[in-house]
Amino acid sequence: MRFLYICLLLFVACSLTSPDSNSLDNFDKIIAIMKTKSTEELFRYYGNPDEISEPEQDKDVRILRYKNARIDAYVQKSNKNIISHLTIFFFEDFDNYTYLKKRFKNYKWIEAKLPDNPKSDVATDLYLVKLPEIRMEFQYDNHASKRKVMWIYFE
Amino acid sequence: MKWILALILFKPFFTLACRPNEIHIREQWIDTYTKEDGTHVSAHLRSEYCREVKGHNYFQDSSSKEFRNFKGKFKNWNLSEKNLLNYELEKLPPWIKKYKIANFLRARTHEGNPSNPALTYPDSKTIILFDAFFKSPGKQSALLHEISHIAAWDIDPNELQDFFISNGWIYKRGESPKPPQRVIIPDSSHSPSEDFANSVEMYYTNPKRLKEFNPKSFLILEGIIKSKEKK
Repeated sequence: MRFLYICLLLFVACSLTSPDSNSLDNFDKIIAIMKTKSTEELFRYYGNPDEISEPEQDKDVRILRYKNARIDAYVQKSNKNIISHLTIFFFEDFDNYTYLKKRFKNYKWIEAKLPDNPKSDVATDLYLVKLPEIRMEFQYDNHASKRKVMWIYFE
Repeated sequence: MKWILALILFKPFFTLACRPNEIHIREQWIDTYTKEDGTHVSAHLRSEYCREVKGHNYFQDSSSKEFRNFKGKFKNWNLSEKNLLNYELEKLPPWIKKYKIANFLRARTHEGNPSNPALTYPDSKTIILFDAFFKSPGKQSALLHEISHIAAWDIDPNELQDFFISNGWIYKRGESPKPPQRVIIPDSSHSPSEDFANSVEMYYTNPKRLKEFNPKSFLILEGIIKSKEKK
Protein backbone atom coordinates (compact mmCIF):
# COMPACT_ATOMS: atom_id res chain seq x y z
CA MET A 1 0.00 0.00 0.00
CA ARG A 2 2.86 2.33 0.90
CA PHE A 3 4.35 1.70 -2.52
CA LEU A 4 1.06 2.80 -4.14
CA TYR A 5 1.07 6.04 -2.09
CA ILE A 6 4.63 6.76 -3.24
CA CYS A 7 3.66 6.14 -6.91
CA LEU A 8 0.65 8.42 -6.54
CA LEU A 9 2.82 11.08 -4.89
CA LEU A 10 5.35 10.89 -7.73
CA PHE A 11 2.57 11.06 -10.33
CA VAL A 12 1.05 14.20 -8.76
CA ALA A 13 4.47 15.80 -8.31
CA CYS A 14 5.38 15.16 -11.94
CA SER A 15 2.07 16.53 -13.20
CA LEU A 16 2.62 19.73 -11.24
CA THR A 17 6.25 20.29 -12.14
CA SER A 18 6.65 19.21 -15.75
CA PRO A 19 9.91 20.35 -17.30
CA ASP A 20 10.88 22.75 -20.08
CA SER A 21 8.49 23.40 -22.94
CA ASN A 22 5.75 21.20 -21.49
CA SER A 23 5.23 23.67 -18.65
CA LEU A 24 4.82 26.55 -21.11
CA ASP A 25 1.33 27.39 -22.27
CA ASN A 26 0.52 28.31 -25.87
CA PHE A 27 1.00 32.01 -25.10
CA ASP A 28 4.52 31.48 -23.71
CA LYS A 29 5.41 29.52 -26.83
CA ILE A 30 3.87 32.06 -29.21
CA ILE A 31 5.61 34.98 -27.49
CA ALA A 32 8.91 33.11 -27.79
CA ILE A 33 8.24 32.31 -31.46
CA MET A 34 7.26 35.88 -32.29
CA LYS A 35 10.43 37.27 -30.67
CA THR A 36 12.40 35.72 -33.52
CA LYS A 37 9.50 35.36 -36.00
CA SER A 38 11.38 32.38 -37.31
CA THR A 39 9.55 29.37 -38.72
CA GLU A 40 12.39 27.26 -37.29
CA GLU A 41 11.28 28.29 -33.80
CA LEU A 42 7.65 27.53 -34.72
CA PHE A 43 8.59 24.03 -35.89
CA ARG A 44 10.66 23.48 -32.74
CA TYR A 45 7.62 24.04 -30.54
CA TYR A 46 4.80 22.70 -32.70
CA GLY A 47 6.39 20.44 -35.31
CA ASN A 48 5.20 20.35 -38.90
CA PRO A 49 1.88 22.05 -39.69
CA ASP A 50 -1.22 19.93 -40.17
CA GLU A 51 -2.17 21.91 -43.24
CA ILE A 52 -0.79 24.64 -45.51
CA SER A 53 -3.27 26.88 -47.29
CA GLU A 54 -3.62 30.17 -49.17
CA PRO A 55 -6.20 32.73 -48.07
CA GLU A 56 -8.34 33.96 -50.96
CA GLN A 57 -7.96 37.55 -49.63
CA ASP A 58 -4.16 37.52 -50.00
CA LYS A 59 -2.48 35.26 -52.53
CA ASP A 60 1.05 36.34 -51.48
CA VAL A 61 0.67 34.58 -48.16
CA ARG A 62 0.72 30.96 -47.01
CA ILE A 63 -0.92 29.86 -43.79
CA LEU A 64 0.75 27.15 -41.72
CA ARG A 65 -2.10 25.63 -39.77
CA TYR A 66 -1.86 23.71 -36.48
CA LYS A 67 -5.29 22.26 -35.87
CA ASN A 68 -5.10 21.06 -32.26
CA ALA A 69 -3.39 24.20 -31.01
CA ARG A 70 -5.72 26.28 -33.26
CA ILE A 71 -2.69 28.29 -34.40
CA ASP A 72 -2.34 29.82 -37.87
CA ALA A 73 1.10 31.21 -38.79
CA TYR A 74 1.12 33.55 -41.81
CA VAL A 75 4.25 33.40 -43.95
CA GLN A 76 5.01 35.54 -47.01
CA LYS A 77 5.68 33.43 -50.09
CA SER A 78 8.74 35.62 -50.80
CA ASN A 79 10.27 34.86 -47.39
CA LYS A 80 9.32 31.42 -46.21
CA ASN A 81 11.48 31.47 -43.08
CA ILE A 82 9.85 34.49 -41.46
CA ILE A 83 6.40 34.61 -39.87
CA SER A 84 4.65 37.88 -40.71
CA HIS A 85 1.95 37.34 -38.08
CA LEU A 86 0.24 34.58 -36.19
CA THR A 87 -3.25 33.99 -34.81
CA ILE A 88 -4.63 31.64 -32.19
CA PHE A 89 -8.34 30.84 -32.12
CA PHE A 90 -8.86 31.05 -28.36
CA PHE A 91 -12.58 30.44 -27.63
CA GLU A 92 -12.09 28.63 -24.31
CA ASP A 93 -14.87 27.53 -22.00
CA PHE A 94 -14.59 30.19 -19.27
CA ASP A 95 -14.72 33.98 -19.10
CA ASN A 96 -12.03 34.65 -21.74
CA TYR A 97 -11.70 38.36 -20.97
CA THR A 98 -11.12 37.86 -17.24
CA TYR A 99 -8.66 35.05 -17.93
CA LEU A 100 -6.66 37.09 -20.46
CA LYS A 101 -6.64 40.15 -18.21
CA LYS A 102 -5.14 38.07 -15.39
CA ARG A 103 -2.83 36.09 -17.70
CA PHE A 104 -1.30 39.30 -19.09
CA LYS A 105 -1.50 41.49 -15.97
CA ASN A 106 2.20 42.30 -16.22
CA TYR A 107 1.85 43.91 -19.62
CA LYS A 108 0.45 47.28 -20.62
CA TRP A 109 -3.22 46.74 -21.58
CA ILE A 110 -4.83 49.27 -23.96
CA GLU A 111 -8.54 48.91 -24.57
CA ALA A 112 -10.67 50.92 -27.02
CA LYS A 113 -14.37 50.83 -27.87
CA LEU A 114 -15.16 49.72 -31.41
CA PRO A 115 -18.29 50.80 -33.30
CA ASP A 116 -21.25 48.42 -33.09
CA ASN A 117 -23.50 47.74 -36.04
CA PRO A 118 -26.85 49.39 -35.15
CA LYS A 119 -28.63 47.45 -37.93
CA SER A 120 -27.64 44.02 -36.67
CA ASP A 121 -30.16 41.58 -35.22
CA VAL A 122 -27.66 40.61 -32.54
CA ALA A 123 -26.58 43.15 -29.94
CA THR A 124 -22.84 43.66 -29.62
CA ASP A 125 -20.55 45.72 -27.41
CA LEU A 126 -17.21 45.42 -29.17
CA TYR A 127 -13.76 46.35 -27.87
CA LEU A 128 -10.24 46.13 -29.25
CA VAL A 129 -7.50 45.22 -26.79
CA LYS A 130 -3.83 45.86 -27.58
CA LEU A 131 -0.77 44.73 -25.66
CA PRO A 132 1.97 46.65 -27.48
CA GLU A 133 4.89 45.14 -25.52
CA ILE A 134 4.20 41.71 -27.00
CA ARG A 135 2.54 43.01 -30.21
CA MET A 136 -0.67 41.17 -29.36
CA GLU A 137 -4.24 42.26 -30.02
CA PHE A 138 -7.75 40.84 -29.99
CA GLN A 139 -11.37 41.87 -30.15
CA TYR A 140 -14.00 40.88 -27.65
CA ASP A 141 -17.73 41.35 -27.42
CA ASN A 142 -19.08 42.19 -24.00
CA HIS A 143 -22.42 40.66 -25.05
CA ALA A 144 -20.93 37.34 -26.11
CA SER A 145 -21.39 34.41 -23.79
CA LYS A 146 -18.28 34.08 -21.59
CA ARG A 147 -16.85 37.03 -23.57
CA LYS A 148 -15.29 34.40 -25.80
CA VAL A 149 -12.46 35.66 -27.96
CA MET A 150 -12.12 34.17 -31.42
CA TRP A 151 -8.77 35.25 -32.91
CA ILE A 152 -5.83 36.58 -30.90
CA TYR A 153 -3.34 38.23 -33.22
CA PHE A 154 0.44 38.41 -32.73
CA GLU A 155 2.82 40.37 -34.93
CA MET B 1 -2.72 10.90 2.18
CA LYS B 2 -5.06 13.83 2.82
CA TRP B 3 -2.68 16.36 1.32
CA ILE B 4 -2.15 14.17 -1.76
CA LEU B 5 -5.90 14.10 -2.32
CA ALA B 6 -6.04 17.85 -1.72
CA LEU B 7 -3.36 18.38 -4.38
CA ILE B 8 -5.36 16.32 -6.88
CA LEU B 9 -8.65 18.01 -6.07
CA PHE B 10 -7.30 21.54 -6.12
CA LYS B 11 -5.22 21.26 -9.24
CA PRO B 12 -6.44 24.13 -11.49
CA PHE B 13 -9.38 23.05 -13.58
CA PHE B 14 -10.06 25.57 -16.30
CA THR B 15 -13.27 24.69 -18.05
CA LEU B 16 -16.76 25.81 -17.26
CA ALA B 17 -19.08 24.40 -19.88
CA CYS B 18 -22.57 25.74 -19.22
CA ARG B 19 -25.47 23.63 -20.47
CA PRO B 20 -27.98 25.05 -22.98
CA ASN B 21 -30.42 25.66 -20.11
CA GLU B 22 -27.87 27.69 -18.13
CA ILE B 23 -26.48 31.22 -18.20
CA HIS B 24 -22.86 32.04 -17.50
CA ILE B 25 -22.41 34.43 -14.59
CA ARG B 26 -19.12 36.33 -14.51
CA GLU B 27 -16.71 36.48 -11.61
CA GLN B 28 -17.75 39.33 -9.34
CA TRP B 29 -16.83 41.05 -6.13
CA ILE B 30 -19.43 40.55 -3.38
CA ASP B 31 -19.48 43.17 -0.63
CA THR B 32 -19.99 42.25 3.01
CA TYR B 33 -23.62 41.50 3.81
CA THR B 34 -25.81 39.91 6.47
CA LYS B 35 -28.21 37.11 5.58
CA GLU B 36 -31.84 37.12 6.79
CA ASP B 37 -30.93 34.56 9.47
CA GLY B 38 -28.27 36.94 10.83
CA THR B 39 -25.25 35.15 9.35
CA HIS B 40 -22.49 37.61 8.51
CA VAL B 41 -20.87 37.07 5.09
CA SER B 42 -17.49 38.71 4.55
CA ALA B 43 -16.63 40.44 1.28
CA HIS B 44 -15.27 37.98 -1.22
CA LEU B 45 -14.61 37.36 -4.90
CA ARG B 46 -17.27 35.02 -6.26
CA SER B 47 -15.95 32.82 -9.07
CA GLU B 48 -17.71 32.58 -12.40
CA TYR B 49 -20.43 29.92 -12.53
CA CYS B 50 -23.35 28.60 -14.59
CA ARG B 51 -26.87 29.42 -13.37
CA GLU B 52 -29.90 27.47 -14.53
CA VAL B 53 -32.54 29.46 -16.40
CA LYS B 54 -35.63 29.27 -14.22
CA GLY B 55 -38.89 28.77 -16.06
CA HIS B 56 -39.02 28.11 -19.75
CA ASN B 57 -39.24 30.73 -22.49
CA TYR B 58 -40.25 33.35 -20.02
CA PHE B 59 -42.44 36.16 -21.36
CA GLN B 60 -41.70 39.62 -19.99
CA ASP B 61 -43.91 42.66 -20.57
CA SER B 62 -41.20 45.07 -19.46
CA SER B 63 -37.67 45.22 -18.14
CA SER B 64 -35.81 47.62 -15.89
CA LYS B 65 -32.52 46.68 -17.54
CA GLU B 66 -30.89 48.89 -20.15
CA PHE B 67 -30.44 47.22 -23.52
CA ARG B 68 -27.58 48.25 -25.77
CA ASN B 69 -28.60 48.81 -29.41
CA PHE B 70 -32.24 49.21 -28.39
CA LYS B 71 -33.85 52.41 -27.15
CA GLY B 72 -37.51 51.64 -27.88
CA LYS B 73 -40.28 50.82 -25.43
CA PHE B 74 -41.45 47.36 -24.50
CA LYS B 75 -45.08 46.42 -24.79
CA ASN B 76 -47.30 43.77 -23.27
CA TRP B 77 -47.59 40.33 -24.78
CA ASN B 78 -51.05 39.19 -25.75
CA LEU B 79 -52.21 35.61 -25.41
CA SER B 80 -52.35 34.84 -29.13
CA GLU B 81 -48.76 36.04 -29.59
CA LYS B 82 -47.61 33.87 -26.68
CA ASN B 83 -49.43 30.86 -28.10
CA LEU B 84 -48.03 31.46 -31.57
CA LEU B 85 -44.48 31.79 -30.25
CA ASN B 86 -44.79 28.66 -28.10
CA TYR B 87 -46.12 26.79 -31.13
CA GLU B 88 -43.15 27.90 -33.26
CA LEU B 89 -40.64 27.10 -30.51
CA GLU B 90 -42.01 23.56 -30.21
CA LYS B 91 -41.28 22.96 -33.90
CA LEU B 92 -37.57 23.86 -33.62
CA PRO B 93 -34.92 21.14 -34.11
CA PRO B 94 -34.29 19.33 -30.78
CA TRP B 95 -30.74 20.66 -30.26
CA ILE B 96 -31.87 24.28 -30.77
CA LYS B 97 -34.88 23.71 -28.51
CA LYS B 98 -32.52 22.79 -25.65
CA TYR B 99 -31.40 26.44 -25.50
CA LYS B 100 -33.67 27.93 -22.89
CA ILE B 101 -34.37 31.60 -23.39
CA ALA B 102 -34.32 33.58 -20.15
CA ASN B 103 -36.45 36.49 -21.41
CA PHE B 104 -38.68 37.06 -24.40
CA LEU B 105 -39.51 40.76 -24.62
CA ARG B 106 -41.94 42.39 -27.03
CA ALA B 107 -41.51 45.74 -28.79
CA ARG B 108 -42.93 47.49 -31.83
CA THR B 109 -39.84 47.94 -33.97
CA HIS B 110 -36.05 47.92 -34.04
CA GLU B 111 -35.02 51.54 -34.73
CA GLY B 112 -31.68 50.44 -36.17
CA ASN B 113 -33.30 48.23 -38.78
CA PRO B 114 -37.14 48.16 -38.92
CA SER B 115 -37.09 45.01 -41.03
CA ASN B 116 -35.43 43.03 -38.19
CA PRO B 117 -37.90 40.55 -36.74
CA ALA B 118 -35.84 40.20 -33.54
CA LEU B 119 -32.85 41.40 -31.56
CA THR B 120 -30.79 38.92 -29.53
CA TYR B 121 -28.51 39.33 -26.49
CA PRO B 122 -26.49 36.09 -26.36
CA ASP B 123 -24.91 36.62 -22.91
CA SER B 124 -28.22 37.00 -21.08
CA LYS B 125 -30.20 34.73 -23.45
CA THR B 126 -32.67 37.52 -24.09
CA ILE B 127 -34.62 37.94 -27.34
CA ILE B 128 -36.71 40.99 -28.19
CA LEU B 129 -39.39 40.21 -30.78
CA PHE B 130 -40.81 42.99 -32.95
CA ASP B 131 -44.05 43.42 -34.91
CA ALA B 132 -42.07 42.39 -38.02
CA PHE B 133 -41.69 38.91 -36.51
CA PHE B 134 -45.43 38.40 -36.15
CA LYS B 135 -46.09 39.73 -39.68
CA SER B 136 -43.40 37.53 -41.22
CA PRO B 137 -44.14 34.17 -42.87
CA GLY B 138 -40.65 33.02 -41.79
CA LYS B 139 -41.16 32.85 -38.02
CA GLN B 140 -39.47 29.47 -37.75
CA SER B 141 -36.43 30.67 -39.72
CA ALA B 142 -36.19 33.81 -37.59
CA LEU B 143 -36.19 31.78 -34.36
CA LEU B 144 -33.65 29.32 -35.76
CA HIS B 145 -31.45 32.25 -36.73
CA GLU B 146 -31.71 34.09 -33.41
CA ILE B 147 -31.13 31.05 -31.21
CA SER B 148 -28.16 30.11 -33.43
CA HIS B 149 -26.59 33.43 -32.38
CA ILE B 150 -26.74 32.10 -28.81
CA ALA B 151 -25.61 28.57 -29.72
CA ALA B 152 -22.64 29.87 -31.74
CA TRP B 153 -20.75 30.67 -28.52
CA ASP B 154 -21.23 27.13 -27.33
CA ILE B 155 -19.70 25.25 -30.27
CA ASP B 156 -16.51 23.22 -29.91
CA PRO B 157 -13.66 25.65 -30.77
CA ASN B 158 -11.92 23.30 -33.20
CA GLU B 159 -15.13 22.66 -35.12
CA LEU B 160 -16.07 26.34 -35.15
CA GLN B 161 -12.62 27.41 -36.32
CA ASP B 162 -12.77 24.79 -39.09
CA PHE B 163 -16.14 26.18 -40.16
CA PHE B 164 -14.91 29.79 -40.27
CA ILE B 165 -11.69 28.85 -42.08
CA SER B 166 -13.61 26.79 -44.61
CA ASN B 167 -15.93 29.75 -45.18
CA GLY B 168 -12.86 31.97 -45.74
CA TRP B 169 -12.71 34.19 -42.62
CA ILE B 170 -9.33 35.63 -41.59
CA TYR B 171 -8.25 38.08 -38.90
CA LYS B 172 -6.16 41.10 -39.88
CA ARG B 173 -4.41 43.50 -37.54
CA GLY B 174 -6.60 46.31 -36.19
CA GLU B 175 -9.60 45.23 -38.23
CA SER B 176 -12.71 43.25 -37.56
CA PRO B 177 -12.54 39.65 -38.79
CA LYS B 178 -12.32 39.83 -42.58
CA PRO B 179 -15.08 38.03 -44.46
CA PRO B 180 -14.58 35.96 -47.60
CA GLN B 181 -15.24 37.64 -50.96
CA ARG B 182 -18.34 35.55 -51.52
CA VAL B 183 -20.94 34.92 -48.79
CA ILE B 184 -24.17 32.99 -48.91
CA ILE B 185 -26.38 35.88 -47.68
CA PRO B 186 -25.10 39.51 -47.93
CA ASP B 187 -25.26 40.17 -44.19
CA SER B 188 -23.13 37.07 -43.49
CA SER B 189 -20.15 39.34 -44.06
CA HIS B 190 -21.08 41.47 -40.99
CA SER B 191 -19.52 39.03 -38.54
CA PRO B 192 -18.58 35.37 -38.11
CA SER B 193 -21.55 34.98 -35.75
CA GLU B 194 -23.93 36.30 -38.44
CA ASP B 195 -22.40 33.91 -40.97
CA PHE B 196 -22.89 31.00 -38.58
CA ALA B 197 -26.53 31.94 -37.80
CA ASN B 198 -27.35 32.34 -41.50
CA SER B 199 -25.75 28.99 -42.29
CA VAL B 200 -27.70 27.15 -39.56
CA GLU B 201 -30.91 28.80 -40.76
CA MET B 202 -30.18 27.74 -44.34
CA TYR B 203 -29.20 24.21 -43.27
CA TYR B 204 -32.82 23.71 -42.28
CA THR B 205 -34.59 25.90 -44.83
CA ASN B 206 -32.54 25.35 -48.01
CA PRO B 207 -29.84 22.70 -47.44
CA LYS B 208 -29.40 22.10 -51.18
CA ARG B 209 -28.30 25.71 -51.75
CA LEU B 210 -25.98 25.65 -48.71
CA LYS B 211 -24.35 22.42 -49.90
CA GLU B 212 -23.85 23.74 -53.43
CA PHE B 213 -22.43 27.03 -52.18
CA ASN B 214 -19.66 25.42 -50.11
CA PRO B 215 -19.74 21.61 -49.82
CA LYS B 216 -16.87 21.50 -47.28
CA SER B 217 -18.50 24.04 -44.94
CA PHE B 218 -21.79 22.18 -45.30
CA LEU B 219 -20.16 18.96 -44.06
CA ILE B 220 -18.46 20.75 -41.17
CA LEU B 221 -21.76 22.37 -40.15
CA GLU B 222 -23.53 19.05 -40.45
CA GLY B 223 -20.88 17.54 -38.14
CA ILE B 224 -21.39 20.38 -35.64
CA ILE B 225 -25.17 19.91 -35.68
CA LYS B 226 -24.92 16.12 -35.36
CA SER B 227 -22.57 16.37 -32.40
CA LYS B 228 -24.93 18.88 -30.73
CA GLU B 229 -27.89 16.56 -31.38
CA LYS B 230 -26.07 13.71 -29.59
CA LYS B 231 -25.41 15.77 -26.43
